[in-house]
Amino acid sequence: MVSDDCTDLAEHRKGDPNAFGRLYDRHASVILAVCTRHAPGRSHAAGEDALQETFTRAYRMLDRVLDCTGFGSWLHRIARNVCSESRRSASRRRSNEREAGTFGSRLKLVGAEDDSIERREQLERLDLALEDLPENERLVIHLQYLDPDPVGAAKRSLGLSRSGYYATLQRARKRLATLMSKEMSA
Amino acid sequence: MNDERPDERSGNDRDHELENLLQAWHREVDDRAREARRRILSSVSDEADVLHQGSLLRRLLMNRYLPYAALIVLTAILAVHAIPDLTRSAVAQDRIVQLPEGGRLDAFDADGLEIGPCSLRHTDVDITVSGHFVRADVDQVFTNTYDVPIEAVYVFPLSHRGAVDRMTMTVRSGDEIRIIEGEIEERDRARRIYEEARLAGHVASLLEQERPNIFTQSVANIEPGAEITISISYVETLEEIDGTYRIVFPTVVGPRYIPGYADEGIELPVGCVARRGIVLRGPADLVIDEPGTAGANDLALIEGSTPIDRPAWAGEEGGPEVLKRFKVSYADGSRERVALFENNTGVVGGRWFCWQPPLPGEPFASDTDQVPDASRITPMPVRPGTRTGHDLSISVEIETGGAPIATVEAPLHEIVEVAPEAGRGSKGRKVIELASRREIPNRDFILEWTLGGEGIRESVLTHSKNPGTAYTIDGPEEGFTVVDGHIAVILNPPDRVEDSAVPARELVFVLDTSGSMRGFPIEKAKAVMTRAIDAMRAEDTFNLITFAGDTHILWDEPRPATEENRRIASDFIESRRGGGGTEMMKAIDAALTRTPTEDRTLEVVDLVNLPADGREVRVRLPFGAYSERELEVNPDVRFGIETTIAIPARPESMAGGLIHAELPVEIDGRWSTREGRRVLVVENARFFDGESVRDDPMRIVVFMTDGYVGNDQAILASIRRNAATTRVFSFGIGNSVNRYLLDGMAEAGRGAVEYVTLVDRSADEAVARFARRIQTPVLIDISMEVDGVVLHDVLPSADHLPDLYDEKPIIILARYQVPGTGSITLNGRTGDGPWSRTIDLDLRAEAPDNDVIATLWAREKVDDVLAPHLAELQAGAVDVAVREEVIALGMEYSIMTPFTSFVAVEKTRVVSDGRPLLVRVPIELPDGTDWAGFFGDPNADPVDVRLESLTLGRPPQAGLETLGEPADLEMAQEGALGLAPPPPPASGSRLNFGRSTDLAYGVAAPMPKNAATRGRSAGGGRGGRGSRGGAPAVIGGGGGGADAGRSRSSERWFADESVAPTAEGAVVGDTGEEAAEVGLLSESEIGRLVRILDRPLFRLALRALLVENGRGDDVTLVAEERHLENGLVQIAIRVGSADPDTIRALEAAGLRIIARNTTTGVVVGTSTPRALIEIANVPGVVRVIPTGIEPAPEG
Repeated sequence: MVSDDCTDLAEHRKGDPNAFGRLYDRHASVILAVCTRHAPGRSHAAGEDALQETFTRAYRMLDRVLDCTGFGSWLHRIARNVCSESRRSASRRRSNEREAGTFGSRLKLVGAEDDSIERREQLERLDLALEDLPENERLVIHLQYLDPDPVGAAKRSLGLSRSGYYATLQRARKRLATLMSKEMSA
Repeated sequence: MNDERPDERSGNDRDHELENLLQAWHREVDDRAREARRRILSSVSDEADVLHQGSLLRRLLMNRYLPYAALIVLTAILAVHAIPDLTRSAVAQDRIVQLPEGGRLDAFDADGLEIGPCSLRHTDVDITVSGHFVRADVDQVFTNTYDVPIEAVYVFPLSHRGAVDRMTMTVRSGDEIRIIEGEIEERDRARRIYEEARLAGHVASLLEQERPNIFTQSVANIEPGAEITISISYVETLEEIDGTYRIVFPTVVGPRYIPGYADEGIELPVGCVARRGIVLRGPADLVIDEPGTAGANDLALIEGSTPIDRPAWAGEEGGPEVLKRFKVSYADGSRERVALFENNTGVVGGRWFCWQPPLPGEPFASDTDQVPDASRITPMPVRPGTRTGHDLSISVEIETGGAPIATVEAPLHEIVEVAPEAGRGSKGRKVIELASRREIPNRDFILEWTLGGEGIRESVLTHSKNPGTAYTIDGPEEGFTVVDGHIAVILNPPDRVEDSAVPARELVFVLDTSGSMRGFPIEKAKAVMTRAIDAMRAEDTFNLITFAGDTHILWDEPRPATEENRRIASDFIESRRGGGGTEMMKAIDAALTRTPTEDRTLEVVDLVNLPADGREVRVRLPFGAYSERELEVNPDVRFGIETTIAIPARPESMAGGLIHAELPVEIDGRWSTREGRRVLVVENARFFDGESVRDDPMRIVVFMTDGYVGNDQAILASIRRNAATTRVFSFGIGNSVNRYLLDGMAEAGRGAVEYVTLVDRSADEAVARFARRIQTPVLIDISMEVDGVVLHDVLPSADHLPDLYDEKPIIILARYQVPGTGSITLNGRTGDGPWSRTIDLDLRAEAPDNDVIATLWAREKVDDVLAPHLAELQAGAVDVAVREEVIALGMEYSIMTPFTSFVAVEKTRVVSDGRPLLVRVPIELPDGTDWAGFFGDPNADPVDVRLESLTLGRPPQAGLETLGEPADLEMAQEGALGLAPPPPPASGSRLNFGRSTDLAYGVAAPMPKNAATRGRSAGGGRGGRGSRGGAPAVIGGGGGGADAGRSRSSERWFADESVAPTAEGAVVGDTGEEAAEVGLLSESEIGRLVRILDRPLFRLALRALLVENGRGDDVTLVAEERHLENGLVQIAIRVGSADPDTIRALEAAGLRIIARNTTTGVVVGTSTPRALIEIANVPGVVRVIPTGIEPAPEG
């Protein structure tokens, strides 16, 4: 929620030690989804490292946030920068060390251990399909499931109106369904 | 059913399943984020702990202007060590007065104890000019004569055209010398490497680019006694104009004006609520009962504090601990107890306040919304008569490649020619040095030379660093090799051919009258402008705009250059004085956004992207649409046409034809919105017979400025955006102007730049060149063709080849992949007709020489990539893709960019505990500029300082073009009214300067006696809200602010609490008593007026009252006259609520309203002095202050 970001930023500046935690709780999941997608190797570990780096950087620069209502989209920008930097340094490292194969394994699903094999396969298909979504649609999907105020967040991050948000969401779901069934038939 | 195939299931099922999967997928992500929470927050917290180093410094870190502050244990304060002996030290050297042995700046710690001299000792510059290229090697020598390790931070300029491609760090400690090569890294990463090294106690250096011409050098952990040399190297192309070759090495960053609103301020501790009122009862002194319990800084803290309500925890157990207790004494001998608490609150005599901890080495400006990095580009200069303690030597070697050097001149410095080494002497080679090896770095080093005979020849240079990869393809060719090649083509221009047929011209002269131009610069600018106006032709039209904090336009419309109009313009120019901020963006808008019709005629389909309201366009549309008054772009986009021109006249060629719906009509119009619908308001219409009629005059805007603004990139973006039909010519006036901005303005506005130094004897030559340029450019409509080979990434790109206004070489940089031979042809038009020039190309597979052209290409490419994104760059919000492209260029070619930095770390030794003392290197004030223009008159009454600051944020006066934004008004007035907690300041002005002055001079007391004495005598800065005056801070030394701060605080006390003023207040009292004595006002009425009317207004009002009652002869209040213009005073009124009743009552009381902000309850207007009393008596009026009026023009 916008007002909560603003309140928490203000509280943080006033020295409330828990304010940053509340900001984390509100945004970390979406940022992790974004980071997992964009981090090198798309491994869990790389995604979480990027998440940590994103929040560390954000913490350092918190007092640069002029518009508290755009805190979420600002975090997204940091996350994208973090991921692109790590991709670049990863690629440098690869070319330097010829260790292209040593990077974190591809996102291995996900899902509780007691999930059936079929369930895990479905989740893996979803994971692949998510990868093929246009970026704005993917973000809308993540916001829908992870952000407490997805419409507001989409407006601030993607400039979408309320109806635009739902239209994009619907489009994304449709595309996901198509991609997954293609994946299945392949 | 599990065996059901997905495509056989119902849509609902599939949706349901997808929903479940999505939920599961995201739940897993959510869980992971939660699991990582503790680890991440504790990691952040660990880092914060390391960085914050305790609660006091934690607040420092939270102040975003002090990214370095985290590790500081002491505050470096540089102050005047010794007042120069003027009889000895003022030495005139070639019109430049300097103080070679004058006052030296030393550093002081937070307690005012001297700890050593300035850390940057010397800058040594070696410049080599070879053919068309210039290589500059800059050595900065940092030393540490302190007894603790230090971190030095130095903001300095380099040529904005240069590509910085090398940095090395040489560490000398005792006999040991280590050289570390700097590595280019992405900026954030470089900063991290540097900070980690600093924390680890290693010697490290970091070079960051703030602007193409402003850099920051940070050197961490310089050991006591050590010397560290940072060598920076850059390359650029040699400048040649009309046969004169020139190099410019800037030496000082002029104090930039920072527009926008600062968002920082005193952060109130949790639970504290700001209140109106006083903290100290009056100017106070510290009473030190026990040595060591309190310092003068503590008094300064209180003076700069914010009054707050009594906190809830006061008197309760478990509240914050007391840091210090002491007493203060007042002039009447009374004393009060003071307690300072650990949470930055305090109490004096029962009145609570919140204080700002000391701010170390702060730049003079805070970051603002418009210039988010303001604090990084505004190093505080030293006061007049004071030296920074570092100096400069420059050596230039010119190698022409054969052509003899005819003349060499350095207009701003004394130079000597060094005898050539044995066997190296030749007519085409010279070595020039500054006559003094201890030159003050306060003005550009400019070296100009001419050659005898032919100039430097045209050339084609190639560089290919590797042999490439060979490919074989089918066909007659045997194969080809792909290389990574770069090419530079340098072509001499054609001679200028005068063309007598010059179209009608409209010239708009824009003069910067801000504080930085005060003194010599503005007088020089006036001379140039007057000459330029004289040089106009009778058929030209012209207008004048001046800008400082506001924009003044001479006429609504351009007028012909008649004798009478020239005289009016000349008088207008002469009436201008330097003072106030540099709101250049407003002037750009005023000068450029009144563009007449677009250059390009728009077709109907182009209208999908609607231009903004008010924008004039030329559109070609079918006559049918015109007659039906409706234009359909597509089924979704339609708009109306509003016209009073019934049927356009048909041209002769169409006279015999029939008019039908498809006939094209060309209309000039302006976009508008009517009741929510976009309409095109037609101003002119005609049938289009194949030839567009364009009778607009050629529009030329001429800016005369020093370019000292922080939002230079946003300004360039604005010019790029708005200069569609206008050519921008810039004149840089001064000895160390912002050449990045001035060159950029001309480039973005497709014009040319001219620099006029303050020692140029006459403006005639510059004006003659300008007149020549606009009369006939050397070459226009330039295009380029490449035959036989393929060039990539050609710069400037073929569609951006700028017109050539001077006879200067055309330099084309490009890449190639396939070697071969071919040619390049440039086409264009001179005053004589078409011009063409072809030069052969030989793209070699192996060309290891000339690696400099690859670097120069990359530098140009960075500019090219960033050019459309300068506004975003200024705002710190560049698109990721753009940023990455720039980073890739920076990394690949190892050059500085806004996003890549050089970093070097000496890892073999640990020299400190990771907490070096931060020392910001002070800079000189640019030569020829006036300290008072930036920071206020040193001898000004502190009250004037406050009033002056108000004039900067004031609302428009009658006749002014622009209207300040409500927020601006609000903040300016609130800051001035003392109603709100002082911060955030009404920035966007020298308020920033003023505030920093407070900071710089607010700590006079602990300084050595001579420094403090000098400071007090110099007293006060300009502008500023005086709110944080107490923070003991920065480099820049000197005292004086203590007085200023107190007086400003006094002003607030008088305003808020009607505490009987001391010295100055006596005048008020006398006048008030007089009014009471003659029975005009009761004491309670006087008391009310004193509370509501600001003191000068109170005095004005009383005088008017006394005059009205025949007692005016006895009252002479000359000082207040300056608030009057045509007998009216301009005031800002704070009201409880700006509701219609209050507004009506104010008008009835005699207020003529100019502007109001109902949200904040501020009303601005003019009134007679007599009406002030009625205005003050209007219910709901809280406070009335003057907004300041510029002195009326002389005569």
